[in-house]
Amino acid sequence: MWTPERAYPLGFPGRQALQITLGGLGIAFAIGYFRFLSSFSSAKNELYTSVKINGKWVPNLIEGSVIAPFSHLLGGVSLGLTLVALCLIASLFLHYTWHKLGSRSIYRMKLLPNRWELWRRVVLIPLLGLAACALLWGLLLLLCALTYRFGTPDGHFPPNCWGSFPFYWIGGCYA
Amino acid sequence: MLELNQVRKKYFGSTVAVDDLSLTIGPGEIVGLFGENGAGKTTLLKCILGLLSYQGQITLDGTPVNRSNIARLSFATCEHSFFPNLTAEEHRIFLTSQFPTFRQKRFHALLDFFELPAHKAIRRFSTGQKNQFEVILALCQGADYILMDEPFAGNDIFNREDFYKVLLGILEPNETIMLSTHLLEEVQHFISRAVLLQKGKLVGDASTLDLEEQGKSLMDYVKETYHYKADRVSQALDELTGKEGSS
Repeated sequence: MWTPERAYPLGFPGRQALQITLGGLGIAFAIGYFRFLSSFSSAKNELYTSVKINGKWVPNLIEGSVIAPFSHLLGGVSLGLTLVALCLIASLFLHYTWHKLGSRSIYRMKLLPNRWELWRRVVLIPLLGLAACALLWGLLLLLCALTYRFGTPDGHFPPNCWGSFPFYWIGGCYA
Repeated sequence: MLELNQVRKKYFGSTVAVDDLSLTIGPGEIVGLFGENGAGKTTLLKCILGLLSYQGQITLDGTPVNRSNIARLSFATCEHSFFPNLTAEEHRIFLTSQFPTFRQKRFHALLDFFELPAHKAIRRFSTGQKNQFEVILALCQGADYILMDEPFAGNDIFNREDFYKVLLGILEPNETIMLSTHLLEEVQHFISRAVLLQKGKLVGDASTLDLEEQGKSLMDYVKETYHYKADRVSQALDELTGKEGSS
């Protein structure tokens, strides 16, 4: 039966470490998306003005106004995932050093007939975590792009709205 | 047959730790490796295991020591190589998965003999128990050559005596022990051969049987080999107390 401990150094609290890694990835993704939503809603608000109709203030699109280019709304979106990636790189060193804490179990690992056992336990989770970071970063950008594309009123995109980002395939520019 | 041919190890920017050392150790031998601190005992054992790079050749039955035959060597070190957070039982499960020849029956018997708990993390063991467990792991791996580096440092005399007796009782004819220790007098009736190192060089190699035939004790042989000056202490004391020293 597979347990998280089998992918970590022996004696390492693998279950908790995996929970922290998965939690960190989820939180980083959510923070990234909320940061984008915050920038996007501010940019979108600038497309509107308020007019009083029947005594109530209602938002009204300003004719000719355009939203900020997509790339301008991405500030800090990948910060959380970058931090998680850095922690995963640091965990590589932690996993190796773990074999020198309290004893020199590094000797026992180096004397195993299976040469990959040590490295599997040191690098597997950090590498999978880094791959997950890259995947989530792509998914996050896609989600942000879709939000930008379908959340912006047609006709209010700036020229070259995707900036330097290769997102033309999503639907092109409706400016 | 474990063969070392002109093995040389020099640490970066340091003196030579092992100097052109050649040695052959046959199956079933119990070899005591002696020498003062810094003589190169630990370095030599680590070179044999491939934990340190070296010049020269080390072969096991004619094949260089590598991953294909490393399971035939096991190591017990005073630095300890167990996993402190695992229990004895968890060690057994892991090592059985790595070494098909792991001696489970011997493992349980030794745990029982030394009254070591099977389900307690090793980090909670006393120093003596940790040493015992370290040696148990080396003895149970199923290796033909068992290398031990000061394995009993921190154990009391009764404990060590027990271990020597148990070792002699359980070892099979093909199992070879290479034991690095300072406890010369204690192991003299346990070993079959003494190898003496000084400043990385092999300065003595004698079987205890030959020594017995010559009417020499191991201690005599060691003192003779190292040119131990018996009057060194009295001379020093005389100088310290201001008496006339004899030359």
